[in-house]
Amino acid sequence: MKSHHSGVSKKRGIHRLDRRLFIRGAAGIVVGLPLLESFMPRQATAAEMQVRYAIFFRQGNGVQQGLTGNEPDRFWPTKLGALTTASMQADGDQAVNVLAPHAAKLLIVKGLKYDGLGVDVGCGHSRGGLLCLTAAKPDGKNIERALALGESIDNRIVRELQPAGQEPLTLRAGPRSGYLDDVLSYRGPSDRRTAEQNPYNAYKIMFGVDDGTPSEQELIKARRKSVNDFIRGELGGLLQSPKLSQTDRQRLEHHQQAIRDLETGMSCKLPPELLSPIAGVDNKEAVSNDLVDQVTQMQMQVIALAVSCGLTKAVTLQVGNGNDGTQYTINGQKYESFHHISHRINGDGSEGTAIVNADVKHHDIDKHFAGYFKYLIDQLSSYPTATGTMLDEGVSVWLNDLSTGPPHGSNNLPYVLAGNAGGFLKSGQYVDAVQGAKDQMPHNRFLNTIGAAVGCKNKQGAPLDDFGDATLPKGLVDAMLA
Amino acid sequence: MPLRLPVTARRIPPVIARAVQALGLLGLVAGCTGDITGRLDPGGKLDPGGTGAPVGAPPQTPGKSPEGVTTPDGVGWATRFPKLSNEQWENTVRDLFYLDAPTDLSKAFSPEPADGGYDNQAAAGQTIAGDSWARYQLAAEELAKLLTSDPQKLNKLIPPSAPSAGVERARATIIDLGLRAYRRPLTAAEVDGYVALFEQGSALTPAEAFGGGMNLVIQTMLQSPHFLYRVESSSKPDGPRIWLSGYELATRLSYALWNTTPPRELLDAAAAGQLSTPDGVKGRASAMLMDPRAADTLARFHAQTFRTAVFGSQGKDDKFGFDAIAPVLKDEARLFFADVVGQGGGIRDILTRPVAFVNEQTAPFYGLTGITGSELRRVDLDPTRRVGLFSQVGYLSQNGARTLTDPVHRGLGILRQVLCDDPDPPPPIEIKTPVVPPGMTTRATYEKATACGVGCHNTLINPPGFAFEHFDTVGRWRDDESGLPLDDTGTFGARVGWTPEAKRENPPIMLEFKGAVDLLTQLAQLDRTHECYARHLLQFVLAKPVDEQELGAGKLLGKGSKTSGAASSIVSELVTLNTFRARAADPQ
Repeated sequence: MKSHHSGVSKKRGIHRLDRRLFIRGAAGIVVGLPLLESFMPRQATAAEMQVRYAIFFRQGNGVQQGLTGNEPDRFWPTKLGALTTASMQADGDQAVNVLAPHAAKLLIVKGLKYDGLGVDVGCGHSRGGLLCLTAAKPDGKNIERALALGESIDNRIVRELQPAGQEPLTLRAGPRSGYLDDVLSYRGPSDRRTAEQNPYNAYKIMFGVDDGTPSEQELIKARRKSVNDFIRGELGGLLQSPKLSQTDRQRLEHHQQAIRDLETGMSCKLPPELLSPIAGVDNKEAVSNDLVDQVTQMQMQVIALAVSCGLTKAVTLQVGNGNDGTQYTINGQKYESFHHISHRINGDGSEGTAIVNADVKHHDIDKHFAGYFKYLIDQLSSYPTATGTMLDEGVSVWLNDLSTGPPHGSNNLPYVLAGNAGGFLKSGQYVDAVQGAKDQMPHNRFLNTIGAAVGCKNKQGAPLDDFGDATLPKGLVDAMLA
Repeated sequence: MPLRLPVTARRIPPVIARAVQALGLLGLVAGCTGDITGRLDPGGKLDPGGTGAPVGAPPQTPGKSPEGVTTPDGVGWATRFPKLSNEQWENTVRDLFYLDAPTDLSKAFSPEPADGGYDNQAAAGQTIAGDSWARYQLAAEELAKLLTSDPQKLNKLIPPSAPSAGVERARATIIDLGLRAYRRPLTAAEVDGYVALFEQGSALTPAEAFGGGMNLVIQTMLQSPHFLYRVESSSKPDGPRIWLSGYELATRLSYALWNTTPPRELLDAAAAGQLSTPDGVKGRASAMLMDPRAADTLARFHAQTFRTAVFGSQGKDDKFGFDAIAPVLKDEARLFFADVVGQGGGIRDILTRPVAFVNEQTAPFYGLTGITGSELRRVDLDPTRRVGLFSQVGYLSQNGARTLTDPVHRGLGILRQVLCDDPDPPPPIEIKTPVVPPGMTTRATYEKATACGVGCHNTLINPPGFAFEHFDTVGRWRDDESGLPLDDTGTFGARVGWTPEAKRENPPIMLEFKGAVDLLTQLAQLDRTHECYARHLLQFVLAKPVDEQELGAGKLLGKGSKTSGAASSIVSELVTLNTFRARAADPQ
């Protein structure tokens, strides 16, 4: 893979003219995107069409916050209330202060927890991963086989707001180990989605392949139309087979809905200086420990382009496995396995020699993730819109499926948001979801808030307030609302 | 040589057994590393699940026990559209298009989820939705381009008897390629549809009319549901089952035994009705099992059953020098399985064959000297100390902590992989891996930590783990633990039955043992061990979980395992059973 040290990409133009999106290409040429009608939500009219989106950027293993032993809190702002660049810069070495340049765009939320829903699965990571975006009960299986009994919020957003057959963009970075490789995105009960680890694969799938002349691209388009018509017919025939089980029928219907006549011609694409390194990543490099920083950034470039072009309204990016064992390199030093650091010992359990300054190293990794998140914010901010930048068209969430290192707890889960989803959410604030109350709030209300922010509704047509397990309390997190 | 006690597999009175069972099961099954059984994670709070009060036996129905069908005639439910796994897709296109090597295009596909099942099973139920469809599309386009831009490759697809030019040449190619891509003859309407596609494709590229037409045909076939799924269309019920067609059986056989598309001769055999009887299927399967591709398949089966791909991945203290041997431990397991299968073995040999494969770096871990070179070679082990996979360095080290042994996970591996007994979820207690204090053995520490009142491992999980206490965390033999005497004796209550209710109701079979060799030898004689192995094979061959309709099939095949012992013999018997040759009539 070629070396890649891109910082913030050059300003990329994106303008909304009527209902047609335009983007400025690498050579400065403004080219038309496909008409938004092809991405129109089933339940939305053209007048309601907005480029709302939600991005969920997931860190594992909890953060170094002061809930355990004698460790001080090094994560949260030290005071609730307004966040400004100056206030964050003056607030010491707290991890979130890496984001100080974007203080006015941030919403940091404390006071949220997992409701265990009465069932555990034998591993905090497994539990956290499946609860994180679903707020659904586990299926009763143990450890790595445990799955959530409900869809994840990214799936809900796409299912409700995008055409049938489309799915959320589900990405990951960092090495795989075979244990909890993909934890976040659920198509439905016990149906966990596998994340794409190679940013170039993701790019090709979202935007097509830009390797031909216009006439060649027309040929590809014509062939695809013929193939798709033929395959739709075959699937239709199979769906008429006698006595199909409900499961088989759903699978075939999903398959049929997934077939779409993608535009070719690459009307939406990254400039060559960004695309070239991405195209150089092979599948093995994509899961290399030592390339985790580069792959994470590349995935973020793909994400920013995808949401800016209106190709998806929900994205997950998971860095590392369920129990992220990536060895991050920070200030030139390759740290121990993050999972070990999060346990404060050289071990995955409770046995092992102590890691010196493990809490500080955990804090360093938290700051490293803050740096990743800043990169994502920078990417989204580089796409101007008529009213600002893509950042505020949607909401980006840096979250963790656990709250702490030891003991991998689930109280006071860390949520850091950027972008106000068109003014739906507060900006420049650090808020307490329960506003000082002793009992923390189940996190399904946070998921409700994000879903509502991008336009999801409950059955009555009101903003989404009942996502997750039916036994959980309904409602939004009022403290987050603008 | 350890003292060998008489083998005493005996049943205890039900009332005692129920009392033992009622004590509940352990709290230390939590794990967070995803190795063979997982690893403990401090602070994981555990809640109960599925441990409700015993329920009475359901109403008896003719031919059924409380657990399910006891005859081997039952047919389990399966999807009619099992999707090819990524490896199957790769093998299939290699064979379909007569390619010399895999295309590697499947590397861009979504990986199968590691959900505890087999890769073919995980793939079978996957949905082609969202971007996974787009991945198949891109691969199909790339492969069609590769094949039609190379006259040599394209010519291989044209039957020798095809007309020399024109649409009829394409029609002949479509009929021949379609037979192998759809794994059945195309219908007349399908042939006409593909001919129409050919003509559309030709019109798009008049200068290369035949190649352009075939490009469109090939990329369409590669995206067809009849290619991506192993479609089972047969629909005429015969009582509770629907018999599969000869082509569907040929497809099941080929993917089960060779992990690839059925070759032409197997399709011809199907067309000739040679798969219409159990003996016909068995004859074909027996011949296929002689092929190296079947050996590869059985190697995959064993590696996934015993999770050997992760061997060597458990971190150890630097003092052991473990990193130097870690990379070859999964290779050792692969060679061991090949040795077992190659000599007509099965689970008995996997448990008891005193053989290892070592090189100069791993030999010292077995206490062997005089081995040179990096190549793994077969060695006989001292059968009084080590027998089978579970006393090899790979398993023992994978189920050991950084410096200390991990009897809980060593025991869980035996339970889950040898006996198909997944313990109930642990009670809602805060658990931590016990810290072994000076002057106390690991065993004593674990016994104290898991004593009843905290969580009971006493008869089920701890004993099979304690049997291996003469092996340290990297699998080396030890006579003592830091000067303290070791105790590798125990009494293990092997549960009976396959449902939670049956396991609660039936008295366990108690095994008294001294040491790993004794325990493994006794396990090799246990009916449940062989039935479990048979159920693993059922699950793998059918690419689906074993359900209650297949209880009798598992019992029958288990008896076969105990009698003949050969994995290949069990498979050749398995394919004659109704559950392989039919599917359940009622959709679920």
